[in-house]
Amino acid sequence: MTLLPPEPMVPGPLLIVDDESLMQSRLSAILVSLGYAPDALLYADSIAAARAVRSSQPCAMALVDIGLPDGTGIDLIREWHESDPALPILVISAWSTGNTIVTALQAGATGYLLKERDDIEIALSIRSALRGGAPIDPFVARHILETTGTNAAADSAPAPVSGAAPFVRLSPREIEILGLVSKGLTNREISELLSLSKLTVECHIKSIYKKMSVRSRTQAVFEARAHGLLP
Amino acid sequence: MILALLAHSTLCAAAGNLAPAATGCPLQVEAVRSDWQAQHPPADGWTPVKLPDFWSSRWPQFDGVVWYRATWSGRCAAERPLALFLDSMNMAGAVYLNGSLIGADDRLSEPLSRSWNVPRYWLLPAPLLRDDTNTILVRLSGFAAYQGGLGTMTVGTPTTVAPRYVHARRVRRDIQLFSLAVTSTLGCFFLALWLMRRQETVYGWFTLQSATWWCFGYNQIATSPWPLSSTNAWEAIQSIAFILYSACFTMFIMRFSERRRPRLEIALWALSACQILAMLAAPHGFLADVRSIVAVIPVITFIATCVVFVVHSLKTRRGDQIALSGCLVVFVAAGIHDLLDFLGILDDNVYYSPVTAQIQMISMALVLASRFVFNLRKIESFNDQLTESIATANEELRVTLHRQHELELANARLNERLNLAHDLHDGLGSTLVSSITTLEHSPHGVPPTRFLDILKELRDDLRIIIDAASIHHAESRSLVEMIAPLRHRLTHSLEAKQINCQWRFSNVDDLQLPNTVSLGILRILQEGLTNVLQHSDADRAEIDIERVGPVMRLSIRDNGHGFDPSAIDTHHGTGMRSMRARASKLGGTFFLTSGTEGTLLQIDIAGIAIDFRASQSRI
Repeated sequence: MTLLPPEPMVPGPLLIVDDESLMQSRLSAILVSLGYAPDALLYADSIAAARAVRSSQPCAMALVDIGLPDGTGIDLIREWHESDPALPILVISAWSTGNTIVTALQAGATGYLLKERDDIEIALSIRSALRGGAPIDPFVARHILETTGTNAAADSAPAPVSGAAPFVRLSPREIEILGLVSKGLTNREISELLSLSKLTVECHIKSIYKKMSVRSRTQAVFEARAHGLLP
Repeated sequence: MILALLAHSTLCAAAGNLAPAATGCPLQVEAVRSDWQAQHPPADGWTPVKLPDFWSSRWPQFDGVVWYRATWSGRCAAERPLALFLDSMNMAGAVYLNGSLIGADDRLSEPLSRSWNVPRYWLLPAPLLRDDTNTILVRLSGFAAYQGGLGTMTVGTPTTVAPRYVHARRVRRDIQLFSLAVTSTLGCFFLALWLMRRQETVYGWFTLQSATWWCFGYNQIATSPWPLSSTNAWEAIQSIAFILYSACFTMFIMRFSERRRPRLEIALWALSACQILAMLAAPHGFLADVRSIVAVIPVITFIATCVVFVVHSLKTRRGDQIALSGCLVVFVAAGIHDLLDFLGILDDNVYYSPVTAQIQMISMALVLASRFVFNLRKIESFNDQLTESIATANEELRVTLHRQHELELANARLNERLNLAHDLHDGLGSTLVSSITTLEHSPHGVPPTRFLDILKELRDDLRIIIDAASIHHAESRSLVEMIAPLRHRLTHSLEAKQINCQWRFSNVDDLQLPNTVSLGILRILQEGLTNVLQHSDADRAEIDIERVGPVMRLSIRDNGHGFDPSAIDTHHGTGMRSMRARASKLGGTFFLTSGTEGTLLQIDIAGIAIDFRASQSRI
């Protein structure tokens, strides 16, 4: 199976947390085609199993499904991100549910895979993550613009989803990039349109993700303090 | 009461009201008449009289000067000190003791000073007194028509005489002064009310009634006819004031009972006018008779008004009216009592009218004020009710709006669901049915790749529907925005295959199409670009979506190796067939050209490239 040429360097070992064995084997096939050795891939089918695997050996990267039999993958992502912010975590989601993906990004995920996509598209997303890129889709961009209340380009009505969430301050350039993404432009097209390097565009997107996860972390600390778990 | 007051004003209230019983020296009084200019009493013609004395019955029609001579002697004459109390002089006079002047009014000829209601008191100077016989001479100017005469005269020690004077002064002057002050105050107050609220005529009539009553009452304390120039004019004005007072009282009572009787009112005023004219026109000789007739008519009107009002108030049983009629009953009863007293039928010698008149005036004002306050309260409570009902209405409106909003929300949701169901039926349903048909009727079984293609097609259709549904705002469902997820995904895939992708939108930024049309265009785009991705071997793809007038044109161009459009059996052919079918369903024309230098797929949809915002919002 050759979808894309193999990558010269792949960080291993990589942990796949998914309770569907079919998805496990699909992902492992894609990862092998990208250059992973089969023994560099670890599997877990529940949160408990994932914690056990990770405590027994270090991982360089993780793919985490949202719906697990003993809880939601978001909690796992948050937990791992807080213990090791440098760990790249991709969340595996079904269909384009912007809300779930943005929540995962806020919990600390660095990217996402959509189950219903073709293998090649999933391979592209993983490769992008391996190369340090930041995947983004129009619906995710739109969702971010709506939740941060900065969707001035699309409409002036206040975002109904934002609720009492702390305000994430995005720079004008970041808002501009999100607007272009939501119109369906790829990072390459955006870089050409704005006369930026593709790397700079990706940096901006990563910065947006970081701002969102920072917000979620301070929120978590605040909540922990409120519950008396932290001094 | 009016009768009694009338008696007060026009007859000399000689008997003295509730005077302290005191007996002075026994006096022998005689009277004699002379002309206006006489400076000395005539020597003869003296007739003995009894005080109080009114000469009109003795010397009818006599106007001029009458001399009164009172003498006392014996033991009483020797007492010292001695005081003189003179109850009244009608109209103006001078008093001499043993030939020496001890007091006189300012004007002893026309216009006469008015002393008819002025009690006098002198401490008689001892040097002028004689031990045997003393004489008090009074030179009195007056008119028979106006009850000219002399009131009681008392001579005695100051301790017995002074209290009588003090009492008389209080009754004749102080109480009257107080009454006038009260009347004018009440009148001014209701005048102000009426000026502010002209439609409340009852206040206006009360004011008029007070004013006429004041004019009438002023007679009690006036000491000169100023601003009039004669006693006759003064008396005429007095009678007119009384006539008008009676008429105004009737009007007031009528308005107070909320009654209007135009004919009766006209008759009342006509009668009043007749009385006034009769009095002004009467020759001097008949003045006394005319005056007494004219005086009786207003009194009858007044009493009739009172009786009618009392009956009316008993019928209506309204609190304010019953209170007022109670006052009137007391007032009329007091008046009748006083009249009987005056006529000598009763002899308790106590007059209640001056007090009840005042009480009547005050109570009328109180009843009027209470009605005013009652109306004010009604307005206040009306305000409260208004505020309350506004609050209720607001609340109802809020609830209604809320319900309406919820209904609209529910409707919007329902519409969304219907749209989604429609999209699923149109998109997924038809593909699903045709796929099932293909699989069921395929004679040699279906190759796995074909099967996979069918499933992927189904998946892509579903994805388009989900992407479209994930755009929250129905208003922002422009074509460009709906294309965005597809564009992003396909561009990524094409770029991964080294196919350079160029999207051009022209004149379609704000184009909004019905959902079905947009979804149809998305499926054609997906199908066309999937073909480019999988079969063309091109390295460049151009997608143009443009609006030219009423036509929207979608073209996909690649520089691949092309294919034979007529070969419908190939995979290409299947895709082309479905694209053609979709295009015709949208009412568009399908154009395909393919050669070695590439493939051009072009679909023109006419008549839809207008702003569908309006039709969209109507759904």
